[in-house]
Amino acid sequence: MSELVLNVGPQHPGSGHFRLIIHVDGDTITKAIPDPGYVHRGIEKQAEYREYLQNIPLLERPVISDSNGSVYAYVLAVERLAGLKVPERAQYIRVLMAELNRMMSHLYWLAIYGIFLGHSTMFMWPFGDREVLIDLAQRAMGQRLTYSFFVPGGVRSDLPDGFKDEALRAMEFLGGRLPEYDSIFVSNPLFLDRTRKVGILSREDAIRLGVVGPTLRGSGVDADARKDEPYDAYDRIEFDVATFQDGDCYSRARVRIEEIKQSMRIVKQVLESIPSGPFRAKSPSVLNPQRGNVYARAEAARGTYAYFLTSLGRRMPYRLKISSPSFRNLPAFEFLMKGSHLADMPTIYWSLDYWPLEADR
Amino acid sequence: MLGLTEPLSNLLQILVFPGLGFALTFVLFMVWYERKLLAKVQVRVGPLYAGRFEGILQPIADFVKLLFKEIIVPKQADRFLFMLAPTFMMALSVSILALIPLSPSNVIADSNVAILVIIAVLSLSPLAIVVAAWASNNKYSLIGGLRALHQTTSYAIPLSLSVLGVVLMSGSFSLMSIVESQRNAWFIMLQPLGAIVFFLAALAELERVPFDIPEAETEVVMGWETEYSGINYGIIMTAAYVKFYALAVLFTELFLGGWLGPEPVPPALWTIIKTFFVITLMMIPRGVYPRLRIDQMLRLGWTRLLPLSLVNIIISLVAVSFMA
Amino acid sequence: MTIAEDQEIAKRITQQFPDIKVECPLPNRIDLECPPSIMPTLAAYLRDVEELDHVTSVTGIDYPDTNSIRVTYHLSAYAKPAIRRLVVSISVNLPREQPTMPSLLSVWPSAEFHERETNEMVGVIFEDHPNLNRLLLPEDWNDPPPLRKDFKLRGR
Repeated sequence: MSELVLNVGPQHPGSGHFRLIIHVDGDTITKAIPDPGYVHRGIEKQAEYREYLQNIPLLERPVISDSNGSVYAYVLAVERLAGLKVPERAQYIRVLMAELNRMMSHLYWLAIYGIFLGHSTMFMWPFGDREVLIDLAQRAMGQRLTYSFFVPGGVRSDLPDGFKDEALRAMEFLGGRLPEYDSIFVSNPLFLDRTRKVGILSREDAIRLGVVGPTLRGSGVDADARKDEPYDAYDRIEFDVATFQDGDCYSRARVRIEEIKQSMRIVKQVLESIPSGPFRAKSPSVLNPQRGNVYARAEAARGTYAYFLTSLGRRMPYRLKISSPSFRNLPAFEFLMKGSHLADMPTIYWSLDYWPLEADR
Repeated sequence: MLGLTEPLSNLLQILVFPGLGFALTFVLFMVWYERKLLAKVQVRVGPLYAGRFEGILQPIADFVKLLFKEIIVPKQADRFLFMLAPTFMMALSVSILALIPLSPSNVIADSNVAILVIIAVLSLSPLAIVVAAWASNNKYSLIGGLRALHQTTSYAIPLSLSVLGVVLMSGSFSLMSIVESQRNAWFIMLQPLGAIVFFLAALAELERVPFDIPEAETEVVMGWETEYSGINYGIIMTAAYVKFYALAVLFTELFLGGWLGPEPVPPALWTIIKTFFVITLMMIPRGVYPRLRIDQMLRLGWTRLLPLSLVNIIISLVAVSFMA
Repeated sequence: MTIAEDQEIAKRITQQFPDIKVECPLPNRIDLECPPSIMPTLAAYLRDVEELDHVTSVTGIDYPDTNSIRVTYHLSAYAKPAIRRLVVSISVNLPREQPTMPSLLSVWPSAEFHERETNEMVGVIFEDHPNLNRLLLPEDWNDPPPLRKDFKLRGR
């Protein structure tokens, strides 16, 4: 059979809102060309027409499964430009919420991986357990997924009473679930067969292609913006950066599950040692930062999120450039899928945790 | 063999029990049972609202819904073959059913080469799938159909060979004699290898998880079933479940002693109980395993199951010659 | 992790390339500005000597009042843990009517998609880029590049 060109198009159960053009010869993929842009909404352009505070709901929307992670870097950038100092309690609260989001995002990732591999239980369990975290978030921030909670200067409101006990209970529940995930999902011999030695990204290639997040850490590079350039309370909290050496889909899966464990560790530390005090710095309601530009980065669930903000001293940003992890992982598609089986396409695709809305902005 | 009661009782057997009526009702029950079982494994509830008791009428609701849907035939598809394929599949499944007795007095068509005929008919199923895939005129259907072809032909061989061990031990191709010869010991204890091979090969023939590559929806939408809608799809699904039921009963009779069991319970009921147990075992992998890749699955069939079934035959030959 | 260490690196760069502007306004940031012609040499130097091994983003900013387009590359390092905290930016100012500059793809393969996006959003042409097709915008986009200031959003 000669070469077939398959359009794993935007309307396909095996893609997000993202088109992959795959040339397949028999069972081997000869070329895989990513074609993003289906959900491009011009977020960067729209950000120039909104005030700094108004941009926060806008910038949350691309990544709803990890909305705090995407907005974190923006808030840090605005604070640096406007010279705002964030109170300690606010710093700890922000770390707490960001880590909750990281866990939610990774559980979502695990669930969809189940769909891609054809394991329906791997879809149901993480989604069910994620509800525990979403309930917690709703208690604290009032929303299930997109919170608009981080603001330049701190957070919008304080944690409610009794939150600490609820959160600790939730962490205990999740901590009990993780060994079960290990035995049924990660140590499942068929899962190992499907993900071991598939889509291998060596350390040099990972660095050369400039990938980020668990994709990078699964290939042996332990870069994490929380450790490389600590922001907020991360330099006062102990945690490890999950790194695995093999660079295959299995390593990337292990990285994410290990990150869930580390996030739980961070959350427990934060809950024990959170100081009291104000939760938001005093700042004018319409921010007017000085002229200049600033580049700030934070570690979201999918990788390093970076914002390059240019301001001319007006109410609205002059230019806001978003560097999202999914966009930076795009070169990995073509590189990893070439030469692999057709059935490995979903395995590799989702192990990169590509979120089309985030890449297209 | 003359008289009015004979053909009438034959007709009753074909239509009601153990024939169509019973089989279709059992299939409806199986669909509900699978959904409930999977739901409990996945911390869900499953069907709940259709029917007073835990959604027991859900399969009927689905069936009625399928009846009302439009049958879409793609414009460039081969219309005749497209509509023929589901009926062909149903015919295959039902013919197997006719040869399998539920008890010595409940059989539609008894034959003393029943096993041979069943294997022969089962081997026709790849043909039906390819006809469906080709007639759909769709790239994804073609890929799915070819995968199904690879899968069903590769696993038909270990399936047939694993039965040979049983045949050697009982000395006959007739299902009645096979069950009778298990009075002392069920064959699952004498033929554990054969039972395992048959179990796995049956799962692969039925395209159930972990062998459901042909309908891997994340890669090929629905595989060779992609273009089928409405009652066409309903017929394909029913045919698959009837085959499932038939293979489960076959497993029971080959390895678990069929209708043999203590007296107060009628033999047909014993068969049904044991089949129910086998069906549960066959449904559970769906909640526990992801699906295999096609080359891994083919490797499993050719390099593991096939040699195992051959080894099983050799062992059976040796055992039989010792006992003679 | 101090401004002093950044300034050491900045001094080294200034010694090697005396005509470019170097600034360290914030901790862990070095901003360079240079004319387009020496971009490739500067890029190769940064990759080989300072070991900055990947591009994190490429930004194009339109300044209609000074009739220029400013392209900024942000670079970072993975392989050398000591400088992971550092982000170096190189900026060039290009004339607005003729925004062409050499592509840095040969120095950093990670710049490929970023340069493509800057090309379609701001209209900068990167010479020697193998595939300057539409990435995010639809194939039949006919209006001016969207991130230019003369492309105004309606209703705001």
